[in-house]
Amino acid sequence: MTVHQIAIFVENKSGTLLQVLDLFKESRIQLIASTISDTVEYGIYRIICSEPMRAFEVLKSAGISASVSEVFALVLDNRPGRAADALRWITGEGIGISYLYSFLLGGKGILVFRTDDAGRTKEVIRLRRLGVLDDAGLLALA
Amino acid sequence: MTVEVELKEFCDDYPRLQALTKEITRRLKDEILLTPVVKLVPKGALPQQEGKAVRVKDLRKTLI
Repeated sequence: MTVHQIAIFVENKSGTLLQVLDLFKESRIQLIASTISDTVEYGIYRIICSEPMRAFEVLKSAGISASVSEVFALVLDNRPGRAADALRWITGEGIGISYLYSFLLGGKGILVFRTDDAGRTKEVIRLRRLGVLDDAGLLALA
Repeated sequence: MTVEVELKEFCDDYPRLQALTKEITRRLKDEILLTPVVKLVPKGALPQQEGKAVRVKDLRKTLI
């Protein structure tokens, strides 16, 4: 019910992002989605890619600070309001959203997010019959 | 005064990283009575020194 996401600690100086992308290029790892959130001192670059575990090993071998975590990836019809509806069901249960980003893939809207209560989030997803992706499902759409 | 702290293990949890920064700042202030600017850096970012460790850099400009 989850996909693996890579998160990379990025110092706020030039070159780090390019180094990561070059590593992916050399290793022929496909970037599917990414987002960066930053403070003054550093940023966190989050990536969904074709082979998250191999990507993690590549980054680790290159001495880059990274982690792998599981996040939810909802599949929504590409129509206005779908994301709002899905989020309302989740937050309506008192579940907090830690972060969220979205992208289009295979004509579908993909909503990637992490919550402060993964167990209850899974219950809501089951109850509301929301479409979710795992790593294989994501790759099939890409 | 800026204190660079190398993260042993990275986690992509902003609240935890912020809490860590605050805690290090607090403990340093308790020890040295100054409030440093704590900057988190990735593992391996700080140079490994051979021989005597160089942990403090005096960046003040000298007036002659």
